[in-house]
Amino acid sequence: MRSKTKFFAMLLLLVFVTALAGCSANKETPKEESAKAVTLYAYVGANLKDPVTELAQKFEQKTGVKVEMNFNNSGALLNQLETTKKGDIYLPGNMSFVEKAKQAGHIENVAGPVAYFNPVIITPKGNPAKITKVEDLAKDGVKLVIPDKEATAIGKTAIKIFKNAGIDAKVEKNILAGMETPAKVLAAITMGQGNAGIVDISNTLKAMDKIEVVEIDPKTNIVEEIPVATLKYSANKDQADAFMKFAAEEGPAVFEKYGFRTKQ
Amino acid sequence: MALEQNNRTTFKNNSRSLLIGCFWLLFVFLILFILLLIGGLLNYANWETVKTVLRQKEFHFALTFTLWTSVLATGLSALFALPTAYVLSRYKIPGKAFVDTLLDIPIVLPPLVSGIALLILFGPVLGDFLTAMGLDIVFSSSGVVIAQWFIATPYAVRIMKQAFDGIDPRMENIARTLGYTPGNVFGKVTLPLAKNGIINGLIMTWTRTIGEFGATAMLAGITRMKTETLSVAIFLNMSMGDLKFAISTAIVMLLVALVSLVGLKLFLKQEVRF
Repeated sequence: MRSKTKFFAMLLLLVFVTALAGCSANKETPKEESAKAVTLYAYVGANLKDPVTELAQKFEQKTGVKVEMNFNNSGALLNQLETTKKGDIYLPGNMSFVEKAKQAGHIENVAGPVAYFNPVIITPKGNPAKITKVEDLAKDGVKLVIPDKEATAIGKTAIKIFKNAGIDAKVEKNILAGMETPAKVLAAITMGQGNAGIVDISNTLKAMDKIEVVEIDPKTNIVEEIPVATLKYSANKDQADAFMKFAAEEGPAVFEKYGFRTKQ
Repeated sequence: MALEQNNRTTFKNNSRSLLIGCFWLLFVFLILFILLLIGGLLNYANWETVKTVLRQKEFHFALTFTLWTSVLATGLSALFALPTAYVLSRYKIPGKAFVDTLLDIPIVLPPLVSGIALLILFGPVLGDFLTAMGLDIVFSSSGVVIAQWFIATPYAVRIMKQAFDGIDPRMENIARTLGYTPGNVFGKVTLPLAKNGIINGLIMTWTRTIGEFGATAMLAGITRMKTETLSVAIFLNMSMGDLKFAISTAIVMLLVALVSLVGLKLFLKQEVRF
């Protein structure tokens, strides 16, 4: 009995020591790197992960400045930078959050747009509800899934588009669910929930085998800019500005590769 | 008279076996439900994507990172939970109901709120002091450990307190009268008797730390190859719309957790009854 207890104590101790060793070993590496060069900290909207990662790699190759990115929802990112008053770049993926951050006094400079948000209608393969234009979303029997109309930029835009088309009251009845992100709208549609959804055109790229895309008439559609901004709290303002300019220049070409709309 | 008694016992036995039958039915239902859930997930998986995930450097990082942060957080939880549980179980504290409820806060709060609270504490409140001491918690790997520790510790406290509550204090008192110091009593009587509960508590804590992402994402941020745990990677892939990738990562994570937990339980089988 006693030997068993001892064995356990030893096991626990061993685990603890290994973990601590792992911890300290892991901590040493970033310190060495940061001693060599400046590292920028960027708050990046999760839906922009792929293109911005590529942009950051290119920027590092060109200038040697590493860009560390924290991906999350635009709102969560705004909370983080507001609380910590740290970081260099804010790239939340829509203008409304940059405006909000600007009013709160967090923003130094804004450039871009690096790309545009272009809402489209998606339907399951075969388009069971026979949707060919935005007005069709008001028909009986349509089960519409949209990104949340308060919390997401594209959801807010979707409601404005319905107003433009004069169908907002009727569409309201057909809304089956509001999701946290356009990506989750896509997930819902591909898993057979609802027969129509609103997402950004870039969301559709990865799921073209499971859905159909219906473009919205440019007369009723609303396209929004994706800006890049630098923060007041930056300790490396020159490098932050350099990244902002780099993103504004090289951004469109990179974003286009990932299915984003890059022309007005 | 004898016959009547006999009848009554069979009736009792029958109703008891009916009750136990119901227990079995519900037990099997729950197990089947969870198996079905995993089955659905596996069915939706794309094995090509699973293979791609397994080969990725980012995945290797997330896996080892998750393992060492969760083990460290569990160790830290144990360090705090064991004494806390013992004090709560053995001593009268003024305002105990309040103190006890305070310890439930990390369970009650949505992890996202815990995350922002931790961010406020380690950012504007303590940030400058900690930086002066050479400690960076916000947006760093230590932040991941702290978030996991904060979220998981109450579970450890709850289960360990129950284990201590279950020990008859007379045993401890007798050990005292036989000449043990309080430290001796704790180490040689209380701890061995509470061992099952403590180990169960640790396992529960570890599983909770592995699944944690809300507070982690807030306090440590989601930075590739730096603060990306498996749970956080799944959350990120999900919000990017990379469902295939999210589910594949989830499946690998599920398998790793299942294998290590079953292995751990089998290894401890002689020691502990689950």
